[in-house]
Amino acid sequence: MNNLSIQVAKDGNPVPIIDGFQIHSLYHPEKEGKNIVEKFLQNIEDYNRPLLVLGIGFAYHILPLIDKFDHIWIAENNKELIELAKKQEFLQVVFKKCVFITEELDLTPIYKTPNYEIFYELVLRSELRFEENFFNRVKQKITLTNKNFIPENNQIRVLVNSPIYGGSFTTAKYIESALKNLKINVRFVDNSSADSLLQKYLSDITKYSNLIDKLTDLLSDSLWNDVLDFQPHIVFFPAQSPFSDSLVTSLKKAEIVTVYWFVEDFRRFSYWQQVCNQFDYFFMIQKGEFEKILQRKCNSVWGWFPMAAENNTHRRVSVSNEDNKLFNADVSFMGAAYPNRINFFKQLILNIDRSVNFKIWGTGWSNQILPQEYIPLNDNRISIEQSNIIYQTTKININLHSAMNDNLFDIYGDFVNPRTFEIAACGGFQLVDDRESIRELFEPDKDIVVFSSLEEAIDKIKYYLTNESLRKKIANAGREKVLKFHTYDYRLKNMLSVILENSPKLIQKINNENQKIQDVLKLCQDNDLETFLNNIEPGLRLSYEKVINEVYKSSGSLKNYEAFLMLLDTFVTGD
Amino acid sequence: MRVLVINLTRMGDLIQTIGLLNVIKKKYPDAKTDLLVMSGFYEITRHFDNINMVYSFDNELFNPKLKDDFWDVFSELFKIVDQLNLNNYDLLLNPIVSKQSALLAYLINAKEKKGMLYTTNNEQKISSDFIAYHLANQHQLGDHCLNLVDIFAGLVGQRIDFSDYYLNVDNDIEDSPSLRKLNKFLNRSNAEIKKIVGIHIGASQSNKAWDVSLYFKLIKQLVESNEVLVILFGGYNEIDYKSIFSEIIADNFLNTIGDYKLNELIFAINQIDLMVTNDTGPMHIATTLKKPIIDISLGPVSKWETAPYSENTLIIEANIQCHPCSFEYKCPHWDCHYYIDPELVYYAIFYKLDIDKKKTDFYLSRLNNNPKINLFVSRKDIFNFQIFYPLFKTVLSEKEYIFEAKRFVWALTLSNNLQITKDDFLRLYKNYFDELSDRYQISKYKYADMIKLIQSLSKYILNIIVYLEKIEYNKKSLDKIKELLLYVKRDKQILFNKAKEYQVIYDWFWFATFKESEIEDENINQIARSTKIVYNNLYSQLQFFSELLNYNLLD
Repeated sequence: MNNLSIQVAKDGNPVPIIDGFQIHSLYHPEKEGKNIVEKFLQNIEDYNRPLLVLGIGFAYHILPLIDKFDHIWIAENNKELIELAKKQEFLQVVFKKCVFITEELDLTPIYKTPNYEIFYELVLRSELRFEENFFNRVKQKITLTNKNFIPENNQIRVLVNSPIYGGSFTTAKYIESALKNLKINVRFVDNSSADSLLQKYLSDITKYSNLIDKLTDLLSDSLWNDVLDFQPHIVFFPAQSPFSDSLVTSLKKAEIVTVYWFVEDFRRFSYWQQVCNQFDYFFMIQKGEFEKILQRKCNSVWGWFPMAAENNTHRRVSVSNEDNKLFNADVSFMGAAYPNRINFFKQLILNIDRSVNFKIWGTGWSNQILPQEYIPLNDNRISIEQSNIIYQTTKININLHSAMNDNLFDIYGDFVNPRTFEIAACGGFQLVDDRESIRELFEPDKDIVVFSSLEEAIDKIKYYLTNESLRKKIANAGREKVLKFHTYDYRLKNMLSVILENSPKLIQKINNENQKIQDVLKLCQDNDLETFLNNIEPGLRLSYEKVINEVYKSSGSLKNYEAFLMLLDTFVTGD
Repeated sequence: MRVLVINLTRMGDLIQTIGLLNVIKKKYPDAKTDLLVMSGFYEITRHFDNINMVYSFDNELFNPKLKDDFWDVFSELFKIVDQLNLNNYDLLLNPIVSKQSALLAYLINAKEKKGMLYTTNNEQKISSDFIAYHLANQHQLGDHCLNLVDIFAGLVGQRIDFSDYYLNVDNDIEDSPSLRKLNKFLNRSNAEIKKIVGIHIGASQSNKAWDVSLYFKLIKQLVESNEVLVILFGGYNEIDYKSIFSEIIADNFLNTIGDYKLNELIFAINQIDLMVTNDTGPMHIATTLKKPIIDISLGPVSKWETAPYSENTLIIEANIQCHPCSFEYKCPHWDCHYYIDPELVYYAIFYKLDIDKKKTDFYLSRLNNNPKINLFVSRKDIFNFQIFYPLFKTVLSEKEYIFEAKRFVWALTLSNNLQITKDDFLRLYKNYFDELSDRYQISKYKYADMIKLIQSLSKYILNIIVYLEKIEYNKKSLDKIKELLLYVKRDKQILFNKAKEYQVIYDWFWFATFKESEIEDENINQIARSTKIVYNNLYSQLQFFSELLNYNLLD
C-alpha cells in the first residue's frame, strides 16, 4: 500500500503525494494540466472516439477535456487515491462523467462505447512509476478483448492432466467438472491406471527409482498423444500430475499454454522451485511468505487461487434417520489425525461439558488416542457422502488446519484448507482456526467463525451451541458466500480470465481458428455446412475426429460438405 | 462434348487408362476429354493422346499432418471441384472402384456419370457393367479374367485394340548427363550386338518384385553371353540396390537405377528391344511403347488384370496353388519367386529376341522342361478381350476349366450376349473353345455338385422373376404388390445365402446386386421390370455356366 498525502501547491490547489512523489506540479498544477492537454489535443482529430486516461491524480490533466470528449475512461489502480479525489469538490464533475477502470479490470461498460477499439490515450506520467504494469494490462485488455477477440468459453480447448492418485486426483476431477460447467471443451487425461504400478515402485524407491522416471516419461508421451489428437489451447497440470521436462518443452514449442496449480505446502514440497518457472502460469494456495518468494523468484505469471468446493459434490443432502442417528453431533471434527489435532482434541474434550455430544471422524483416530465413545467409526476412511452428512448434521464443525508438529495451531497459517469451503457448501456451521487468508475470503462472525486459541474455541462452542438461529444465519451466509465466490467453477473462471488477459497469442490463435472456419464458410457458401458447424462446439470445429465422426453419424441425403469431408477422410484412411 | 475421367491411382493404373481415352475419341470424335489425377503422376499424362486438360490434386496436401489443417485441405478440394464444375461436363467417367473417386464423382457435376458412384441417399451404385464386373471380382481374388485396360474401355461400351494403347514419346528431350551416358552406351561400336534388353527391378510392393539376387544372376549371365546390351532400370525406391549391380562391370551393361526423370525413362525404354520386368509402372510404359515384354508375375499380381496389354507379352509365373495371393498377405516362403530360375528367364529372353532362329527350338525345349513354372502368351479372344494361352500345350486342370467357363460367361455378359439365341451361343462357344482346345488338352471333369447347386439356385431365381413379372403388370392392387415384394425379399435372401457358400459363382450375385443398385425407375412397376432383367441375366449366366460344366456342347 502506498503512502498517500496531500500537499497544497503554490496556486492553492491540492496535489496528491504518493510515497513522497508529487503527482502534479507543486507550483501550478492547474496550469501544468492545461499545458499537457494543449499538447495532447494537437493530435486529436475525432472527439467521438473515446479517451483512455491512465492515472487520475487529481485530474488537472482531465478537467480541460471533460467537455471535449464524449467518452472518457480513467484507469486507476490506487483505490485510496480515488477515494481522496472523490472528496475534492472540484473533481465531482470528473466522477460524474468518466468511467473508471480499476484493479478488477471489469471492462463491461467500456464495450458499450461505440468504436471503443480506437481510443486515444493520455498517460499521467507521474503515476507510471507506480502503475505501469496496471496501465499496460488495461490497454492490452481493451485492445485484445474486444468482442471480436474474446473467445467464448466453448471455443477453448483445455486438456487436464490428472495425478495418478490421492487428493490431487479428486481436485483434478473437480477442475474437469468446473471447466465443463463453464462450457469449455475439456479432455481429461486419466493417469490413475498407473496407480498400482506406482505404488509398487514407491514401496521400494531405491530399487525402482529409475522405473518411476520411466513411468513418468511414458505417461508424458501418452499425454503428448492426447495433445496431438485434441490440440488443446491450454494444458492444465494439477499438483502431482506426472510430466517430463521434455513434455513441457514440447508444449511450449507448440505454443500451448501450460498451467500448474500447486495445491501443496511450499515448505513441505520444494519441487515448486523448478515448476514455478517451467510453466506459463503458476497458481498456488498460500499467501504471505510464499507470495514474497514468488515475487522474487518466479518469472512466470503467478497468482493465488485457494482451493474451493465442488458444489455438486459438496452440498446439502437429505439425511435418513439412521444416518442422522449415527452422524449427528453437537460438535464434531472430520479429518486425519495430525499431531496438532490430536493434541487439540485431547484438551478440548477435557474442557467441554460432558453432555456435549462430540464426535470425531477420519483416519488415524484410534481408541488409544481418544476414548472410543468419541470415535463411532474408529479410524475408517469417511466418504464424501458421509462427510456431507456430518457437516450438515453437526451443530458445530471444528475445522482445525493440520500441522506437522503438535502445537495446537499451524504456525504459518497461510493457506485455507478445502474443508473450509466444503463445510460451508453443505450448509454446515464451522469454527475454523484463524488466519489472514480466511479473512480475505470470509467475514468472521458474518459467514464464518474463527478462533485463535483453545480457550476461544471452547468459549465459542459454548456460545453457539445455545444460539441456534445465529448459528444457522452464519452457516447460511457462509454457504451463500461459497456458492457465489468459492466454487471450482468460480476459481477456474478467474484462472481463465488471468490466462486470457496475459496470453495474447492464445487469443490470436483462437481467433485464427475462428477465422479459418469463417473463411471456409465464405468460400463454400453452403448453408448446410454452416448448420453442421453451428451444431459442433466452437472449440471442436477444428478437431478432425469430432468433425468426421459427426459426418458419419448423420443420416439423410448426402450433402456436398459431407461428401467433401468423407473424401478427405479417404486420403487419411487410404480407403 | 466435355468428358472428365477421374483416376487418382498410381502410374501403372493411370497408364492403363490410355485405352479409355483413345476409345472415347473414337466413339465421340468431338469430345474434349479432361483428366483428374494426383500431382505426383501428372508428368506421365503429358505423353497421353486425346487429352484436353489435366487437373491434379496436390500430393503434398495429403500428408500425415492433414488432420492438423484439414480445413485447408477441404478448401483446396473445394476449389478444384468448383473449378471443374465450371466445365459443365457431359460425361463423367470413374473407372476406379474406390470410395475416394466415387465421392469425387458425386461432387463433380455431369449430365451423365458412369462407374462407381454415390447417390444422394449416401449409397454406392455402379453405373457400368464393366465396373460392376470389376467390383464383383474384387471380392473374389484370383478370379479376375479381364485386363483393366479392357475394363476401363468398357466404360464407354467400346472394345479396344492393342493398337489403341500407346504412349507418345518426347523425342525432343532436354539433354542431360544421364541421357548423354545412355547415348554413349548405345552408340558404342559393336556391330555384333544388335539387341538391347531392358531390365526393371523393383515394384510398388516387395512381394511383387523378383528377388534382387535373382536379377543379379540373370544380368550377369546376359552380360557374359555378350550377345545383348543390357540396361538396368530402377527408380528412386530401388536406389539402395544400385551399388549391388555396380559389381557388374562390362561394356554391354548400363546401370541407370535412379538416373532418369520420367520423360528420360520413356525415352530410354523406347530404345530397347525387350523389357524384362515385374508388374511395375515402367512395364506399362514399355507396353505402350510396343516393346515386347517378359513379365515375371509374382505374389499378388494377377496376370489377367494387370499384365501388359499387348500381343507380344510372355508371362512367367510359378506353377503354384497360392499364386496369386493378396496384397496384404505376409508370405512365409515366397516360393513363387524362387521357382523362377534366372536361367529360365535367360532362355525366355533369347526366345523372345529371336536373334538366332536356329536356336529357337533349343530355347523352347529349355522353357518347356520345367514343371515349376507356367508360361503364357497374350492374345485377343473372340470378344476382343485380352486372353492368355499357355506357350506350350498343357492339360487344362479342373480348376482352370471352371475359370475358362466362367470367363466365357463373363465375356458374354459384358458383350451384352446373355439373351442371345441358342445358335449364336453355340457359335460363340465353338469359336472360343476351339481356340482353347488348340492350346489346352481339355479333359472332362465331373461337376455334379456344382450343377446340382445351380439347378437349385435357378429355381429361386425363376420364382423371383415370376414375382417381379406379376409386380410389373399389377397396376391395381397395392396389397398384392406388397405381398409379392415380401416373396421376392424372402427368396432373394434364401438365394443369396445359398449362393454365398459357393464363392466360385458368387461374383455373379455381386454383379446382380450392383446392377440392382443402378435401377432408378420411378414407379414400382418399372422397378420390377428393371429388376426382372437383372435376374433374367443372372439366370442366363448360371444356365450357360451349367451347360459348360455339363460338357454338353463339347460333344
